[in-house]
Amino acid sequence: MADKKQNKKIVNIPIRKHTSFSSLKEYNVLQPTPKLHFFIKLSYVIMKNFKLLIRSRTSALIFFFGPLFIMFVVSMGFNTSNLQGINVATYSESYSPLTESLIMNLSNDLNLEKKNSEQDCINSVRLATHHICLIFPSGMAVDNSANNNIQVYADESRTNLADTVIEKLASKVEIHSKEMSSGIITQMLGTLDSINKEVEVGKLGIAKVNENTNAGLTNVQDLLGSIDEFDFTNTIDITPLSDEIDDIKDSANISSSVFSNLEDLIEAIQLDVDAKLSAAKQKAIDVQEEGQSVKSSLQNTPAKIAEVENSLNSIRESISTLKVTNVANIVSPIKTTIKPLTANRSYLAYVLPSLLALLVMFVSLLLSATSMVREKESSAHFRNFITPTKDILFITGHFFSHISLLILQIAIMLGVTAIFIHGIPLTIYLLAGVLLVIFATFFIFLGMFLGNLFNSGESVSIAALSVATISLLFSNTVLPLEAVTGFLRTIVKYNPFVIVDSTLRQLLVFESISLSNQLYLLLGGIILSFILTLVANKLREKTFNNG
Amino acid sequence: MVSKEYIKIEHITKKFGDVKALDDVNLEIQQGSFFGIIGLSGSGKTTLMNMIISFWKPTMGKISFGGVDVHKHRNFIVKQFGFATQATSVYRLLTVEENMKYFGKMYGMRKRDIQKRTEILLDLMHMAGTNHVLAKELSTGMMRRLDIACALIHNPKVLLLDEPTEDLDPVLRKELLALNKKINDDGTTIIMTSHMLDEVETVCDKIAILHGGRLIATDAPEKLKEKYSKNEEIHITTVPGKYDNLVKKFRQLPISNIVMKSKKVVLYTPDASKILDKILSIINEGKEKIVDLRVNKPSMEEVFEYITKR
Repeated sequence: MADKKQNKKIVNIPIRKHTSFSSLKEYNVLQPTPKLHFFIKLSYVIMKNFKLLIRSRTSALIFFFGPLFIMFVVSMGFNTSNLQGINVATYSESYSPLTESLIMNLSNDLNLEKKNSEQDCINSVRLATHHICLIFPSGMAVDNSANNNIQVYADESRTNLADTVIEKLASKVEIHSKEMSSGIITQMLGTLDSINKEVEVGKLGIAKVNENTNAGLTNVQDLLGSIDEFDFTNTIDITPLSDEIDDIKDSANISSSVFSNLEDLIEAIQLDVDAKLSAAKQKAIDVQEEGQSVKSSLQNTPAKIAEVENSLNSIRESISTLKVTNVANIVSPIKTTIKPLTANRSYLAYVLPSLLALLVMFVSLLLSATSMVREKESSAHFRNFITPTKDILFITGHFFSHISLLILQIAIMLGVTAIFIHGIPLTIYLLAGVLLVIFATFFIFLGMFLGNLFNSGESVSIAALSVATISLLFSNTVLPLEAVTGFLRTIVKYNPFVIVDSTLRQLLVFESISLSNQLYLLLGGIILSFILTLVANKLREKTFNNG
Repeated sequence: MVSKEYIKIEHITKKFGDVKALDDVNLEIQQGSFFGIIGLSGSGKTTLMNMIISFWKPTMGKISFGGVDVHKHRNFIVKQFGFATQATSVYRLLTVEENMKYFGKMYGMRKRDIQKRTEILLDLMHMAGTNHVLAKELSTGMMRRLDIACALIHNPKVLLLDEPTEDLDPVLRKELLALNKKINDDGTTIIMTSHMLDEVETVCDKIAILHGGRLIATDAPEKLKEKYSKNEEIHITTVPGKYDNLVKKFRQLPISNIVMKSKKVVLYTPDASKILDKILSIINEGKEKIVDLRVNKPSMEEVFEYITKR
């Protein structure tokens, strides 16, 4: 009887409200099935997954609106190029005018608060009420005491912030310091210029002195010549005068006594003249000696003047060798100017590549991992195993379900980005989208692999978060990769997050892309994670317990 | 491809690590039969079901369906079997119709066939009008019916029911058993596991008793009773129900066992008719008033207890 029923082929089944029970066997479901079934089945698996996700309202809300919310909040929050709300504590035993002026300068961009003690200042950083503490030296001034060392206390555990704040502060102090240096150097340069001019004037004076010296020397030589020509040996010859007197005496027959007084006077005069000549001779000798000494001095003077002139020339030459006389160049002989590679300098542009990669990584991992576990925890899961459906169909179905959602989310995220960052061409967004989809593919398979390995939502969430956190920590997002030591640094270069982060940075910040071997690595990672998923799925099927 | 439509289980052993879940089990299940597998929890019932449907491979032995090794032709086999598990295997966030459609598609059915089959099955399961109700909103009984409907969507030749009446109240249990009986009457071979011996006894043509992974006995219920129990049961319910005094006196009669149950006492005796008068006298003397007195043939429960405690 049963055989007879089973062999019966009825095509048209009347649909009635109360169908007869015998109609149960009125289909031959074992008839050949169309070849399209893989894709039809696939579409049903995908639709089923969508329905399950959407009807699980909390999950749907988190997965759809979570990333959107994060993008909006981050975009609004970081769409600036300035650091906001940096609190700086300061302390000095004695605030000098220089300190006050520096504080005034800093207070334009930073929130400054003077503390009562050095310890208060340092504690304020420890307690995180302030980002940085500045200890100014007592009575800071620019002089030879060199009492101008400002101590900076920063919370190094907040690595990025500490670096940024210190950098900002250092640049502010540097600007102020440069202004002061400029003043000092201007003054120094002015002094040098005056010296230069005075030397020039001095040189002219020296030439005049030289000329005068030469003239003096000539005069001295002439004078000495004149003295030499003077005959101090001659005395007054009074013989003619005595002869004349004798004649007079003879002619006038005047007594000799009349002329004796005159002759005495004449002799006295002769004696006086002789004495005076002798004194004059002595004086001439003295003058000659002095003249020789002056002559000798005057003869040495040109050499001395030449030495002075040489010294002045040397000073001039030294001053003229100062090639840099521009104050700014002396203050900063070597200048570094950081030129942005992009016109867009808001923090959002810099944080965006990491943010997108981060969101896609977390959403892909968590969505696929938790979906797999939810499927496993579903009582219906077992029925899938006992249908004539290959594992690959379920894996493909789950993948397409998740990647569809991720594509939607990526589109939304890039759309939000476009609202806040202008000027990026559409092709760049498309390339970024494609890259993120490839990235999501890797993490979806990885999430499915984890979902197959773990049996509870809690454990798989922890596993997925751990994987994502490791990826995040070993990237440039939290700490620079250059801080990673040894062998690990070689490995982390292959971290998919690093690959996508750097490629997205090229795309969204510099609007260029160079797809190197890294992309092949990513594709290799996808294949590997897919194989792992297949193996884990098979393993799960073998260990599944529906009892 | 199917030459003989019955299931043959030959020397099946299944190990999980060092633990033997099944140990050299041999069974033959005829086409069209309603076959019951009973046993305590952990006796290997579900393991056996999973191997019949080719989900798990046996460590040793072979299971064939109509001569076809189920583990070598899995794709063919899963189309011949429907399986309703202990935990209802439906998606709770899909509607009744969506569940049917989804699993129908997984079995490779055409859309129109699924549609027609769904209507028939929902009608059969008294679930008409619930097409668009989410499975999670169904009552336990309805959910169980949906599970069976999903197991039947592809019109299997064999329906496996693993503890189908678990968690159901007596009324629903009866309804479901009747439903299963109908399905069986239609020609679908049913293999049902249960630890509710009375219901197995009610519907099954043949019963296999598993204990500690070993098959202890297999036969029709009546034959098992004949083979393993010589007693009849006398169920007595009295008021005010001071059974302690009565039991002391009952022990003087030729009774093999006395079991106190809630509000009643059950006496096991080889021939109830010989001691019935004396029982009535003892009750009267004890100033008890009879509310209910029934004489039953030996139950599967007694058979099961006898076999498993040997």
